[in-house]
Amino acid sequence: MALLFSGGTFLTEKPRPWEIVKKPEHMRRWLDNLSEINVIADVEPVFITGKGTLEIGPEDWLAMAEAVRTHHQSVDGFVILHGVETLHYTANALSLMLRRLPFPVVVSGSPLRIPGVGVRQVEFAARANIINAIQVAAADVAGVSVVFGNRIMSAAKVQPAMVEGAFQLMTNEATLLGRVDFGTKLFENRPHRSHKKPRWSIHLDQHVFVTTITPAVSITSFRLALRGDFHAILARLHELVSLPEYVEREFRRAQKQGIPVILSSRQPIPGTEEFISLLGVSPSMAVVKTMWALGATAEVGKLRKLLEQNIAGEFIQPRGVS
Amino acid sequence: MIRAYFYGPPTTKRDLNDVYEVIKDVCQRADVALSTNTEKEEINLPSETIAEHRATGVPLLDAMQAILVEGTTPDPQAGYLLAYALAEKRPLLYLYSRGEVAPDVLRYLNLKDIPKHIVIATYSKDRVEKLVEDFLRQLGDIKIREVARIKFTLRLTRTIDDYLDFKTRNTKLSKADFLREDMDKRMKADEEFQQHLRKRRG
Repeated sequence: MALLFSGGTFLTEKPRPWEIVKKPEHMRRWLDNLSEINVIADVEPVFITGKGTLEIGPEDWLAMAEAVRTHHQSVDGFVILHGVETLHYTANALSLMLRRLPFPVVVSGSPLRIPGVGVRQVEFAARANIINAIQVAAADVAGVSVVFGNRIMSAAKVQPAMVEGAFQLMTNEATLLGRVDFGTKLFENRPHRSHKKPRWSIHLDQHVFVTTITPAVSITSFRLALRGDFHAILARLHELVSLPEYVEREFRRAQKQGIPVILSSRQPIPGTEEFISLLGVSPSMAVVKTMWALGATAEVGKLRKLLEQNIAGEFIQPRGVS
Repeated sequence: MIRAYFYGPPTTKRDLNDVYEVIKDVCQRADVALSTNTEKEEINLPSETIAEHRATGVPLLDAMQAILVEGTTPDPQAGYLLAYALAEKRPLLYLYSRGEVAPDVLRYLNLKDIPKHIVIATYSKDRVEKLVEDFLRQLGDIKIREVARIKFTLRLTRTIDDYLDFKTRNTKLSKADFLREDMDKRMKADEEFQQHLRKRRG
């Protein structure tokens, strides 16, 4: 089992500096501290980054995908340790870059502190979460998935949610790949291990200007974006069903300058057919899918086709989050 | 009431199934709420507890105060439960049949460093009951009901028989139950005998 370190190594609420992995030389000590994982797998540590969760971005996602490509022939599966707060972005990105994998890549990490729960319990939850992730990565499942708490989820469909004041990663119950009750139970709908060749699509163009359209949104930011080094504009309209006229004008101007505009919304926006529509994906998936598609092509027609295409099962029902 | 989980790898071997039954029987006599994969309904928890765990994302195993594993046959789930118990500092009894090769999962543990809450024991069929009882007693103030298994032929006088009939009339007790309960009370009140028991247990 390859264990990729990219954050998420908190085993206690307030770990001492030597108890988290910030540098490659910290990995061995951390593994010694969690020696029980040797009972279920032979672990090969791989260092990706020591950055904090909020600093992890496209370059790190590419590094994780490359690490999977490099090591996939020498291991049975991968577990990627990651801080929870931005884990869904990483999971979404990996689901697009690592498609049709014949082996499992499981993303997981330390849960955030749950209000009202003692330090000791948080410590246990973090350890148990990692053990569950390793158990899944050793099982008959394939593709990129997320293990968090008792849920085994498709990485393309995972979304954040607050439940009883605690940060959670969730998905539509009907799309769960499995559940952890007294052990990991994988459901029939999961992809199985196979001998197929993986399809590597490891590319991202991070020059995307991301904005959320709200009433009275400032056009200054768009104009700055047009002057900057951006290759696309992604406008998220999850709360609106139409586009303000002055915003539409700015977007037309951007498109004339060769900067494609992508509208991410829950339903089609009438009268905006000239822009690329990205419907039915989560806000995080809208960002990473735009980067991924732009990394594959700069041609507007092809970009539109890629964004409309179901790449990794990323399309969710409008009310899909339970 | 203590909640525990027992895992026994699915098997058609009669000997192993008999061992599973002994383990479950001891738990039942100790009033342990036992969830086990060896029953058709694996989960033995109140529906509100299950709903709470589903909503908060906490695995059901977290609701268990103890774990029991029959690990003679190689099985990934047995290793998982052992790793989980080590991580969660949860009491676990890992049993494997005497005379068999120690399961692979135990090779990864430094046997000298096994924490106190993990009990790894080999068993012969007649020792399973005692091992499980001892493990459960460690969990706290657990009383395990004894099963009357020793057959004893006792000849009574007519008067004693009349007395037993009289005492058990309109009760759900049989005459044998009445005698057992009476002996039980006498044993508990007998300080000399209690002292003898304490000495024997060391």
